[in-house]
Amino acid sequence: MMSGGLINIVDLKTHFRDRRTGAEVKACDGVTVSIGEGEIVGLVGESGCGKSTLGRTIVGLERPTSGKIIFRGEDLLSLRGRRLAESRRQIQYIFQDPYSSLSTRQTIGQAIDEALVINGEKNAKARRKRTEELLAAVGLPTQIMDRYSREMSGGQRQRVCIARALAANPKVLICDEPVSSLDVSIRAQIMNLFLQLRDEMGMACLLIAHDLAVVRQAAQRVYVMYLGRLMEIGESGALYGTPSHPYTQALLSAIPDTDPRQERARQRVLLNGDVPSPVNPPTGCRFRTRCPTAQAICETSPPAKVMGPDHIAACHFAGEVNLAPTQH
Amino acid sequence: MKAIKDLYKAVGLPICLLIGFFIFIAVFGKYLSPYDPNAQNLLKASQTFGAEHWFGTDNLGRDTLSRLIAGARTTLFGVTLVLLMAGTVGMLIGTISGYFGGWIDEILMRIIDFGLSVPSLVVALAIVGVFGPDFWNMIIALAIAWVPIYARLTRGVVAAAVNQPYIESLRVLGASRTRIIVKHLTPAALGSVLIYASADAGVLALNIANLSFLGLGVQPPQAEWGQMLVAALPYLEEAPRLVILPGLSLTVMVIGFNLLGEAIALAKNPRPMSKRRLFQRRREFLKEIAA
Repeated sequence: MMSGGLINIVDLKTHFRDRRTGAEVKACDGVTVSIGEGEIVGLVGESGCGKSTLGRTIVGLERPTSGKIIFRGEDLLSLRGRRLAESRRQIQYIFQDPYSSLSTRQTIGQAIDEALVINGEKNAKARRKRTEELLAAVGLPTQIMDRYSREMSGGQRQRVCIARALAANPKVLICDEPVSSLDVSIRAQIMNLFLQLRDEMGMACLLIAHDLAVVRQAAQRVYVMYLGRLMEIGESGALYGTPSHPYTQALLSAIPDTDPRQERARQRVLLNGDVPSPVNPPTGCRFRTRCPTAQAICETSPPAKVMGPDHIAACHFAGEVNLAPTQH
Repeated sequence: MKAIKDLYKAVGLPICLLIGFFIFIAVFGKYLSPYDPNAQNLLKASQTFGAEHWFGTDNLGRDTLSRLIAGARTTLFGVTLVLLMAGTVGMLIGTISGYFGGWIDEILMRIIDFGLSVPSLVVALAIVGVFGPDFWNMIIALAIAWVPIYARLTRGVVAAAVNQPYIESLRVLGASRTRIIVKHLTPAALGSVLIYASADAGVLALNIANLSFLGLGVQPPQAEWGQMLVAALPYLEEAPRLVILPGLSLTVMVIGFNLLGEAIALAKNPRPMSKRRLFQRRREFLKEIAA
């Protein structure tokens, strides 16, 4: 695994206390992720696996229980005051829902302008010029500045949100399902925008998604998460080509193929039951209660098996099982 | 400017004229009233409608029209003061409660719940009872009694907005707490508060009249509609106009404010109120007036 990355999240745990029952919800339970400079990294898992919690913790919207968030060599969790704000500013967040991410009382110009004010730009003329640049960078015409968000489409709003995040001159964008509330026809455009930002500005991205197919196009490396833990990490080609964890195999088998012959041959791996409660997760391997290949040994913690360069699977049988042999 | 224009369009000319009329006579009443509202002239006491005194005079020979005009001023001044005080304090408490949440919210809201569970008029009565009947005591009493509703209203709006992605994205951008509260949360709540206040003004006018009628608010000789009503009661049979005129003025003002509030709420609400709901509201409101 990469260790010299731009941002290294080490064994991060974010637990919540359920207000009614007082139980501890282990939303994110010991996750280690690293993102290199100008690298797009995917984070995939189904709803409730803690991927959003991880993203929100990185930008400071949730308080972590333990762990480290090392950004440019400094642990954000030990920084305070101005230096923390300075570092935090360089990690920006894109929300899933571009509709509620923009104030209904501000025009697009005002929203971006405010982001620039917060970022310390005092000169109004300079701010206006920068706003125009930012809008151009995300592919929006400058006339849009005087419009309200309600007058725009979902794709346009998401572009505005990205432009506003760029106002802080970030090094990393944490994107929480940035395209899942958009029309399919718009998705590719937004994904291409992330690629373009990486190529032109060297922007690093953490792309959070519940669908491996969305991430495939853009991410160089992919993390697969389940119930607060990482299941498999891999460079895109390796992870999609030779998925080693049964969970990744199940996820991949759910993607339809565009080739009809391949599609007919596609074997779906059906998982039984629901995701167990993160209040009381299974011992050992978190996935064992739904895993078709689970054995007695799975009650002990699975080893991190190295499957190849930059390819690790947390499974006792990694590389030995293949649930859907004909896939991808 | 556009907001004002939109508002005018939503409210409509009749209601604007009605409310504008009351505000106009409250502000310029001094120059409009034909006589000094407090000047007594026993030689011309208890006159009926006539050329010299259009609306006649009361038992002390004071010009009724001048007193009605002065009463509008007293009422609107009082309503404005109470709304400003209750609105400011209520919004402050509500914003703190909604923004910080947790135990601060719990404690503040339990106090507010207590305030809401006691009828406002009873709270006002108790405060006036302790500090004595006086115009300013009444204003402060009403303001205190009216704080909980505005605190509750603000808290609801702020608590709903504070976890919205647009507020969270400001936090990620590094916006200060002051900026988020002053520039985003307060304006969000202000809309709802103003809508509520425009309808509430009528209820407050009624309460000021109520307290003054009971002798707990505006003291004679200062002209106030409720106070005029009670002064005219002994002469109900000989001079019913002395009771009817202030009563009518009060009714028209209260109805005016209610229609205003209703119209604004209707315009701001994306889901229009159904006819049935509207009639229900009007019925509740009429009951309140009758009480």
